[in-house]
Amino acid sequence: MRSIYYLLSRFYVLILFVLLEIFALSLIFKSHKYQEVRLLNASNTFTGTVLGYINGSITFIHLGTTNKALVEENTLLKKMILYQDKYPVDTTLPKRSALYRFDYIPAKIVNNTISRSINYITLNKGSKDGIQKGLGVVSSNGVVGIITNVSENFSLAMSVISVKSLISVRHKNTSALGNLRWNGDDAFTLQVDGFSKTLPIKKNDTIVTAGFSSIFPPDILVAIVKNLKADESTSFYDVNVRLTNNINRLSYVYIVKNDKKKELDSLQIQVNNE
Amino acid sequence: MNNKFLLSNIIRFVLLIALQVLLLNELPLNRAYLMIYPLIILLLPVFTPRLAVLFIAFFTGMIIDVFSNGGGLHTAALTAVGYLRSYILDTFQPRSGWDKLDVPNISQQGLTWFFYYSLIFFSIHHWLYFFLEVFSFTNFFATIFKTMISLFGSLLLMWILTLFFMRNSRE
Repeated sequence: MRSIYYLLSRFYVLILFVLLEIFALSLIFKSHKYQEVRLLNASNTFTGTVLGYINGSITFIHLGTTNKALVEENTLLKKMILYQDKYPVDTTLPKRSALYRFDYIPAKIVNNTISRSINYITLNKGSKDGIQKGLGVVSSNGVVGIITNVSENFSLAMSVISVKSLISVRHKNTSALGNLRWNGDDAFTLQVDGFSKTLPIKKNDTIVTAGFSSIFPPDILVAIVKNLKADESTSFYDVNVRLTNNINRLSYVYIVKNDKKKELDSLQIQVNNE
Repeated sequence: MNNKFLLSNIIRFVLLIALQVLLLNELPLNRAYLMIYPLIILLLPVFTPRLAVLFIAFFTGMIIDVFSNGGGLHTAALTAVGYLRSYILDTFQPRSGWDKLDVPNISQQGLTWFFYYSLIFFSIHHWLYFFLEVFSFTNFFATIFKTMISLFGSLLLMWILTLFFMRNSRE
């Protein structure tokens, strides 16, 4: 008993240090798993509100760019309406929108980083607005990330600029499938793997979402090919791409909600189990 | 004297956390992530009880984590340097040993001393942070590069700040 007391009195700082460190490391391990709950995050009401105030001033600086993006998007939408009037859509064919029912919920970015290895974006819409874990986030001209945490009023999205992020994409001209990843180096250069060397892929080609998962609608703009190199050891290209949207400067985004996500996911689980 | 110590430490605590959360976390830097908050622990008086240093480090890390989506990274890195601080101070102690009212800052210990002390302190913190962040040795050189740039940036910012707020020791 005396020796235990002696040990405690001598090493209490070390023991406490080990305990605290185990606590902190367990938090990290939990948050390192993809789409796992982060305990210390900025999606709770207090930090969300504080960061919201800070972001108010940053949004003001980017007001010009935001306005421009909105005008461009408006023009595009107007053109689409015009187009539909002139050339009515053939009703005998099933419309794509019938297969994929997507609902867009607008949200404002409260906090945003690009300098970490795993970057998170805090959004001002939460479970109150029907946001759930696993929904996709897009901007008017590109993919932004996937929701990983939801509180009542705020949600947290893992940005595509994250080493743990993985999004299935498609080469627009050849329809070849690939995966969009980030190697953690330059935040403005992402990588796509899975494009076969036999394909005619060139610089400045467009990469869009594959639309196989229930997260993102198909054919949403993702990136432009920056440069590519044939990997000598495999039959694939090493492709570097540049995102079409500047995640760093975004102020407003859309959260994509798929009405049929549950149905699709359960079907896929069924198939996997068989 | 004690009250003055306490007050200046609390003010420094608040200001540095504000600087980290409001400004440095928002910087749109591509490869670097500047961290200034270890300065809070670095500048605590030499004879702050080790247990107190450990707890201050732990809670400071928690606050930074909550505000920057750290998920425990800042807490782990800062608690570790908080624990190691007394050993760093022991290796760097003056020939006559530490005095009761000593503070490990530029005005008391001099420029060269502070340079090495802060270099060791920030290095441990930054290496821990960035390697815990990726928690693998994939993209090893990218991580090293990122750590070096961030460390250099943080140190430079920290030295400029401390020089700016340095009190003349003759006063």
